[in-house]
Amino acid sequence: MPRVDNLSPDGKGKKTDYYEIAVRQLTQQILPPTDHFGVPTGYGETPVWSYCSALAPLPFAQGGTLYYPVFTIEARYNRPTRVKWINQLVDADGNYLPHLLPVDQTLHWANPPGGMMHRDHEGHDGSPYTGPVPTVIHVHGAHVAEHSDGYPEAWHLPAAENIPPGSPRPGPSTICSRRIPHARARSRDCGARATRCSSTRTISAPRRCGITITPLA
Amino acid sequence: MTRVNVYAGPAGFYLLRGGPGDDVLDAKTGKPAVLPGPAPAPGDLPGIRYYEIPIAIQDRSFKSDGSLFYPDNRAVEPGILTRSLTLPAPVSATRAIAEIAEHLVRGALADHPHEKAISLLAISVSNFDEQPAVQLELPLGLEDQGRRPGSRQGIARTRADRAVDAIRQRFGAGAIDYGSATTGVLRSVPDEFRRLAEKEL
Repeated sequence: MPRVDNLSPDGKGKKTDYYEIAVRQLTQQILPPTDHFGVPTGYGETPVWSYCSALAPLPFAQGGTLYYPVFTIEARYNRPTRVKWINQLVDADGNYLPHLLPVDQTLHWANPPGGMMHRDHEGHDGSPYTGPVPTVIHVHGAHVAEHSDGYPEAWHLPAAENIPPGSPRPGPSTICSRRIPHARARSRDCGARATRCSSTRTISAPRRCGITITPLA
Repeated sequence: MTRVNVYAGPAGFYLLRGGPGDDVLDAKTGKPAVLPGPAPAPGDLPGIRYYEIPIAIQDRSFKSDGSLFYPDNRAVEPGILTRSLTLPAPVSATRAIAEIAEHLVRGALADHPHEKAISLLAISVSNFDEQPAVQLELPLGLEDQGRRPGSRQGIARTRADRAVDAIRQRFGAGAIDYGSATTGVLRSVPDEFRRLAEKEL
């Protein structure tokens, strides 16, 4: 995964590997197009989500970094990694993309349409959710403070043009700022007040490897 | 929400290199294990033989057009049938439970005569409780008397179960074992499976 920069946040401390990583939708041939005998299977391309560097959001085939499975972050021991996670589940016009899969709103979930009182609850609408998709990224095994851990209720929506009225609003601009890496809101507030564009997290150098990144919410 | 967000694909590796946690000791030599070749790195020339290959396994179902399949509600899927029955009184006799299960399966099959085969059958029982005092029932010859613990047939079934349990407890589980009926077309559940089901957890 290409880095954005090697920052020294306070100008004198350790260098930090800085990434801006966006989750985006793409279409890719995942199932085999032909069988063992070279006969076409007829299996089409699969719409999926993956991550990319926000600097190079085009699909890999077009020179970008958007590919499934996603590029790997390689971190070095004792050197902090900072990641700005960006929800870019939007179309070419900047309007939000609905979820690829049917979302049952009657289970306990982020529930963005629920208003301040019923966010992070089960909803009452039996039809699949079609609104902007809440995401939050959790890095398994990362050594992070709680506001950077990617709790299920610390989700954010994409910064789409057509966000429905009543959706969680972007939090204070400092949350999205590159200069101040930590969202100051507690995790519970993040869902309610929502850092809509993204959240930035510093992942201190963990002691073990083999960490996988999983989206939550 | 996590279930559908993860299912849609986005997941990746975060590899940490260096540090004390990096050392994997060779069990034979006690020295740090070393891969015979380098890990992939940006700018590698083609043709390098790599020995470090991170593997992520994702389990997905697809539709024939290539898109991901995910059920859109909690109702049963096409091809999956559920049948349930709540009894008027708790039962513990094996024969009664087996009879109920068979009754439910036959009912489901009768409703779907075009289905030729059952690929998977799951039976669950719920609301476990201590055995209450049995309420004796009059011999009314009811159709479901085998499932009524206080009927003559229900009592006989429970006694048979307890007799078998007592014998096996005293003389070992092998004293009375399962036998498959060899005369009819009905085949029994494989003994291995039944023993697994009986296993103390």
